Amino acid sequence: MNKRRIQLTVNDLIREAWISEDTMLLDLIRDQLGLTGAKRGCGKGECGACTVLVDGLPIMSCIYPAIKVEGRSILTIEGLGDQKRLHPLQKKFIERGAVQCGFCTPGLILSSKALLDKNPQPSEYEIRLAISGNLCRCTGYTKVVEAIEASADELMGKMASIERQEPTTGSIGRSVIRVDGIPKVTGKAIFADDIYMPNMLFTSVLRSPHPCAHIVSIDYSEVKKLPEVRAILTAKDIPGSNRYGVIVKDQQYLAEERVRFVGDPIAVVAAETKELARKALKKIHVDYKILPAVFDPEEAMEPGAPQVHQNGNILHHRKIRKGNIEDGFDKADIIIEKSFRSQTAEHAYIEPEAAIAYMDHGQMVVHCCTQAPHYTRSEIAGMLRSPISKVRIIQATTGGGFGGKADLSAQPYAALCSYITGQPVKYVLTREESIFSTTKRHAFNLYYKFGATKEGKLIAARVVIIGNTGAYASFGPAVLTRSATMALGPYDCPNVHIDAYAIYTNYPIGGAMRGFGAPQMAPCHEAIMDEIGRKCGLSPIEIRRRNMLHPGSATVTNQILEHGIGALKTLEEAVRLGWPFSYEGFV
Amino acid sequence: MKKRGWGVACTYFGMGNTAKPNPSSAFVEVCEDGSAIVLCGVADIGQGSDTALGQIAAETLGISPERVNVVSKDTMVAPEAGITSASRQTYVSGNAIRFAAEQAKKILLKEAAEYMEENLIDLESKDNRIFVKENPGKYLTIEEVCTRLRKRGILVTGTGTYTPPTPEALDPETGLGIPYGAYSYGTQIAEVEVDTETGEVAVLNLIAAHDVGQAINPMAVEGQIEGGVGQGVGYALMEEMIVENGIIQNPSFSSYLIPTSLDIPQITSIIVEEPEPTGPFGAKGTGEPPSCPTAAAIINGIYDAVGVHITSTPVTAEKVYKALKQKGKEGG
Repeated sequence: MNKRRIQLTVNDLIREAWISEDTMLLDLIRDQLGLTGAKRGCGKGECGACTVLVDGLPIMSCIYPAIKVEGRSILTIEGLGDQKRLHPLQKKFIERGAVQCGFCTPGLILSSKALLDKNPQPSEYEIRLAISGNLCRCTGYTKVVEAIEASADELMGKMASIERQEPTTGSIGRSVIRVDGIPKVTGKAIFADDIYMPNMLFTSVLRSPHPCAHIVSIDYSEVKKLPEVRAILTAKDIPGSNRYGVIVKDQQYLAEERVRFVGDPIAVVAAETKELARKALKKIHVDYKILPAVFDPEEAMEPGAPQVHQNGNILHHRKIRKGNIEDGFDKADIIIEKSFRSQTAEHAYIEPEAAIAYMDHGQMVVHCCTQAPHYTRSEIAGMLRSPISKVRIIQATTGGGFGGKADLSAQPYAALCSYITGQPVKYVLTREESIFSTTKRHAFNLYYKFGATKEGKLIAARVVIIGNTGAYASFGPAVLTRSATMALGPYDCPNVHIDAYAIYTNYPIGGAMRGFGAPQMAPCHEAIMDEIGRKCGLSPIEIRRRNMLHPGSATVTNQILEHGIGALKTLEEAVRLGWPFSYEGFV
Repeated sequence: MKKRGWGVACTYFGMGNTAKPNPSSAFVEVCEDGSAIVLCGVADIGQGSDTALGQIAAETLGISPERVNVVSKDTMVAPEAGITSASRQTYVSGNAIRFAAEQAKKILLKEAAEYMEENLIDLESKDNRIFVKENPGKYLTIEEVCTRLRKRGILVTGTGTYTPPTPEALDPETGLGIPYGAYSYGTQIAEVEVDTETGEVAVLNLIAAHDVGQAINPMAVEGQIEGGVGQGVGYALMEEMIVENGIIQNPSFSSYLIPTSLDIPQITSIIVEEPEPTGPFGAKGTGEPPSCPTAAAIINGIYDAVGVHITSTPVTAEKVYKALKQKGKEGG
């Protein structure tokens, strides 16, 4: 491909770069200029993490052809301010708590800079509009908007008031500024994809296009002929165990005979560039025998359903039996039955999974984003047949997780390729690959029946929870167990009968996601509580107050609560600020 | 026509893994200048554990938080602290760090008591000093105490481990037992506006009150509440992975929509503090609970506004529109 040299101004310095027609500005500033503050979240101009300013205007550099910046002036986060001279936006983002994982932060700050340059006193709506192309999954944007308002004030010379009433001595109850704030607002925080090493190879993984199939044969002889490809590996190349999983070791790093969902890994390639690694995948020929698949968890529970694993599709059944359920319903004046469906949801952290692995004095070192460095260490050691003490996991700055980075993702493939080739190996999932291959929030089918007295006291609850846990266990058994323990919400009930099932299907894998089985339950128990209230002539507040857990209550599992029960206080405080109707029930 | 409604929803959430041990461990070293290093393998994924856990160590030792360095990111340096999940790190690892720091502090207090000729129990450690409670003018700086110890060949270190008090697994037949050492609680109220012509739902205000035991770092706790609510709004109204024949149909941010700054309402977070005696300084976890009741509050708010109950998430305009049509038919 023809490369040409261009000149441009980056952060007030004249720089030169070699580009081809398909070089994007983000590639240029990250790979050639070493400015890694601009992030690659999606590669499609959809998330805004790659935002930089071109002649003062914010653009998504991942889809902005580098050829268009010849002779123009670029501002990246590194040029806005540094540790010693923070720009007011950088300062306020830290002071106001607008920084969490930090992956979207540089883009958000630069979009805000462009706004304040042309509109020094924007309204809240104008601020929200200006940053609406910058996705943030951590903050809910509240503190981001506050930080931008505060910086606008500072730039206009207004003194911002400090509202927090906090202790001035000691350490508890003080909004201490986060220790990683400055690196995150200056683009200096190092995420796994920001690490570049000499002789580094890039990985790509061949994944199943079928939800359920037998692998008849894998032919990669054409790939072997490519000089830029340093490794093409399948299950037989794994030196240690090819089984992993945080609760049940039912997952294979590389499929041996069978694939169980669309995205199941089959082979991994390590090559000199990302593009070559991806191209090499196209030269692998897999002969599949398509097998019947099952996607609906209730169908999967039927006799004769296709078996996802050998021991049946019911991965886990958690029962809760408290009191006497029949007796409870017999005594109930009001009985309400409802069924619900919750959807499969994606964590959508803005940083896709990434890992870079290398050997150091006989030890495997893996830098990666993760929620579980020690768990990762144990699995990688098993895969490489190495003592755990000789595997080193270094958690790079991690761009959000929300449960999705508690499982393995990029790490084993980077580690395996590095182990085999002896070279550093980086693996960064594309957004599409990330969504296809990693875990999701379980979809639940929910069947509820609550019984209450005419005074509004909940006295019987029967709940059936069917969780689609997909092709592999991941955290499924634990999610369904938690959903059972959280099935009634914070309410006292003497008679409880719960069945929670985690069901294998050929669906994407259900795993851990913020709330871990509880967010699915709340729309059910809360809607029913309202309905019981309506039948009893009680307001939504009163029906909750009458049933709320209190000291001495027994939870669904008969745990007697003794202390630290702020349930009623949260109701009272929320009502005080957010309930528009009169309520006199709190004393 | 646009109609307003208010919905309330409550949640409770157990801290740590359900009914199984989930231990954390930590090392604390107090350096000769009275600053401290904490080693604890907690993955900070943005929630701010490196900061909050440093505050717990600082409070225990009686030094300023700026003098604590939490080293968490390297398994070759920091000991195991379990997974950052189950809203467990402030509660579980916070305790491990507190115990490690207490062990180190004992060494400091013992030395100070000997030198000042005071009883151990009469001393307190705060603001980088060890002083006599009844006579704060009589003190030694922690640096002075460390220097003295060093001269005698004693280094100031401590180790701690903690796992929540969940003594046994839940009974396999009845499910009864003690699954969690502590619970956090929350209430959210959503003010929604429903367009009866289109079924569109706008969340105007979201009040979120959460009992966190003791906020170690209030601004970080608010960040957890606001972020959790933000995800809850997306889960309630927008987000759905469409899977057909096992194939995800929307694997991108342009087809799987998550909330932008324009989709999230004004969020008012309220920190409620009902101290948890088993938590470090009364703290419980805050990571997950805020995203649990949001969808429920919105769904109840929609019922309050237009009298239809949506029984599946996400609550799209189409579902609300259809439910309104159905209700109209039944009513007329």
